Amino acid sequence: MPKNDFPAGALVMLILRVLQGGKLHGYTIAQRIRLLSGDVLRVEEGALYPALQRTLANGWAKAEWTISETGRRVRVYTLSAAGRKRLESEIARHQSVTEAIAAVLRNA
Amino acid sequence: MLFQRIWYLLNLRRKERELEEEISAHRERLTAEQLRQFGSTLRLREESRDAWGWTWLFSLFQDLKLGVRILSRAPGFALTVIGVLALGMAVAITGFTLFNIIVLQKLPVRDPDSLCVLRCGGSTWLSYPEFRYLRDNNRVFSAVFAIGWGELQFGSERDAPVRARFVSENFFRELGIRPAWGRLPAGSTEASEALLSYAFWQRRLGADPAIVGRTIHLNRVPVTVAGVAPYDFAGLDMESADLWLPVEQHALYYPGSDLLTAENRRPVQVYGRLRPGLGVSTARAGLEPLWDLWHREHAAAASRREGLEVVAAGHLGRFGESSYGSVAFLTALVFVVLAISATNAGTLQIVRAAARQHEMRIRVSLGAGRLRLIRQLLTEALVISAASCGVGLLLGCVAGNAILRSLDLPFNIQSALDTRLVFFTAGLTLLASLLFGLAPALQLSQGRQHATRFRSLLVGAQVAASSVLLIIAGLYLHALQRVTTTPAGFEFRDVVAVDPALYDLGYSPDAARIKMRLLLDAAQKVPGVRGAALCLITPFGQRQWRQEVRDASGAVVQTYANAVNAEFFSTLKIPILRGRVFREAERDALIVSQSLAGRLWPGEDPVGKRLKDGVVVGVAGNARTLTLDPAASEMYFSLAGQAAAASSSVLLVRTAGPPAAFIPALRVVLSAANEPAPGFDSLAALFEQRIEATRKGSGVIGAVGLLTLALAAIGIAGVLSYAVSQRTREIGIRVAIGATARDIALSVLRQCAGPFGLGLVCGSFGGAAMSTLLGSQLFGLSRLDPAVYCGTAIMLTATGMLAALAPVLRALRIHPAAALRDSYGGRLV
Repeated sequence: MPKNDFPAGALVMLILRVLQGGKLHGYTIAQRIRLLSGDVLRVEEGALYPALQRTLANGWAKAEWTISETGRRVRVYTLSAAGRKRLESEIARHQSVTEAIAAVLRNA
Repeated sequence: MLFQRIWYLLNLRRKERELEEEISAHRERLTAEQLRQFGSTLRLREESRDAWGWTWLFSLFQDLKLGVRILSRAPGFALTVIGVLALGMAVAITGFTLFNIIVLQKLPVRDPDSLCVLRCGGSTWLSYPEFRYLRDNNRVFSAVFAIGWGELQFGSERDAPVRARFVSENFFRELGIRPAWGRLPAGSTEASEALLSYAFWQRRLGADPAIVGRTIHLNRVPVTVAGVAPYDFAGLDMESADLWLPVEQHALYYPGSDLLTAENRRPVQVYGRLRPGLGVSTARAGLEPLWDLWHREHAAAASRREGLEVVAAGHLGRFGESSYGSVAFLTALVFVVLAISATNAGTLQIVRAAARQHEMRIRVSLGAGRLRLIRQLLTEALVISAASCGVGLLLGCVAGNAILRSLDLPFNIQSALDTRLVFFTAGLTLLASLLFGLAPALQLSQGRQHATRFRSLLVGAQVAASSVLLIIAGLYLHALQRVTTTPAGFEFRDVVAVDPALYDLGYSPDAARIKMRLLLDAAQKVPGVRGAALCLITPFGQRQWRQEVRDASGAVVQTYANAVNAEFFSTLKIPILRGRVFREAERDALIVSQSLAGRLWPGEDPVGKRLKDGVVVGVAGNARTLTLDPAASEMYFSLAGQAAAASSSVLLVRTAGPPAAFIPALRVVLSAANEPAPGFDSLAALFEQRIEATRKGSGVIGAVGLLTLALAAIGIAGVLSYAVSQRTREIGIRVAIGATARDIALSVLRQCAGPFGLGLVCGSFGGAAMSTLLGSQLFGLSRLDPAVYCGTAIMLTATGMLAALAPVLRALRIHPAAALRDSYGGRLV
């Protein structure tokens, strides 16, 4: 699925949400989003890494290097306190927008 | 957040390597089909830079790299533009360096912001009783202190005198001066103590480490050295002080001095410290009733009653309202030169832009947006102006320091590259790159050409500006030439003025008359002395005495007056054309110069006429002893009739050769055992001093004027070259249908002729307006002197013709066939 179909900012929100479960590296973040969305949302890598850089730049996540299960050096991301706060506000905003859209669709 | 971003930028290499490693780890897990969809690593890198908010920096860097590359491909163009711009910037930076030191830098004293000086009638001098009264009764200053100036003899009589400042006891405390060595002088009146300046201690006392407590002799009075002032304190004025003494002890060094009590003389400067929260205007308002009251009670002093002014004194330069004019003039001058060089650089840019049309079209067709092109062109401008700023800063610092040295400021004042100068230079770079980069950038990015009218107007502006400067320099030079080549009417080489300053020593007029008689006799006995005379006003000296007289029709004639004795005329070799010189003790006799006689009584015999309560007894040849204005006339009163003037009179001695050889002998004979030695000045040196300001002014303004002339020439050449390159086809067609060389040359020249003439006219009016600021520095030369204005016009026209030569020749060489074949207009600049 092309990345343009992601609503603006939604990717960062999804990344932050899957990071709530614990440390993950880039590939597993993409996998997790794909699995949880029932194979609907496929995060293209070209979009994933800039989005991850944005979470780092804004201090929403922290990164550290570890050895993965396959024995490769990988960078894993952890949600920071600022990221948690951001996630809450993003979710709230997202819900109010979706509800508003739904209301329009229902009543128009 | 910002910290993280900067951290990212600083570790850019490592961060990007990490990202690449992370991505390649990701890739290893992908299938071949997924891999195809994976974006390029390069793009990912750029997008991640975007995420950290640094994209602009990288594209700026790219632009800079490209700018440098493009400029290095046309080194001739780049060097010319950098040179043109650097000259303008050097002038601006020199100006700012001086402004910074004189106006912005604070004096190294405690709380310079609340420091004020009192001014009365344009000068900072008050009488000591006025100071004492203001000090004891005012409510606006937390402290008031006074400074009196004096020159004292130190060491042998041949040595230069030391500049002493007589200060009230709170001076050091109020300025927060902590001595580098020793302690501050005690304020008591018994012990005589001095605080030396650091420079004086170094230069005249060999930086003697054991100087504190030693005794030195000033005007033959033993003085104990209490301490040495800190390195960076040299007083509150442009002229540095050598040492400080208590003002209460003034009479110790000048026996009989009445400085502390005299109400009719103003020998001290008065400084105040504003109470917290008060400004200079409230302080002035607070002092006004006090000042009025004092002058009502002291009628003798009230004759010189003028308003009191409070001026901030925390900087080296004190700017009251009277000096705003000259500061504005200099600032305007600096910006005119800067604007000229920037517009010239801009013209060159535009000329070159014509050659870059092609490149720009290619860039647009490759998808560059208009903003992107403008940004690129402005970045190129920034590269140029940064380079010129570097050159300009170097030139400006050198010139600034040279000017500072010629001003003879205290040694601790130097131009330094401080933060203010750095910010000014950075601002200048940005301003210049906008000034000269924006117009060409807008035009180029639009991909079309404007008419040359705008640039012709720029040429006009440049011609106007350089003619203003050249007119002023020309007025200076002409005045100087007139003064130095017109005969003075008397022989002043080999004459020494001896000023015993009897008034300062407290002589009464009667005692002074006897003393001067003795000095006159003593001087005449010195071998090699050819004559001696007395007068009130030293020729070419600082003092002036103007008189207004009325001619037959009642019109006022301004004239310069002096009071002299009979020998004055023979000593200075001024011929007596009619009548006679003064007789011994003759009181109400007058001698007038020939020109004054001619104006007051044309065709009549002046001898016997009454004038200013006196009778004219003789007519002297026209001599310029009192002013350098060749048109001025002079009148001489008999010194015997000016009773009160005796203690201010001066001895003139004619020597058989250059005075320097005779001054030592005169000094021995004319110095009294218990008094300070008189001051000796040769009239030739005083004459040089009088014309020095004009000489310096003509040098500086002339240099700047020639610079603007060169800039204007470059501007004219640029505009015409551009016009020729734009009109290649048209000229080709004209030649093809039979235009002669003359037609072509004229049609090219016509491009600039109108604006050029307009610039000349505007410049002449501007020069006439600005020359009002020159005032007395022209020594009576009319500021509308036609020779100067014509000369300027001729010089500018000749330069303009010269500048037009190359473009006109190129236009004449255009071959019709070649011009029509080449759609881009052939060879361009």
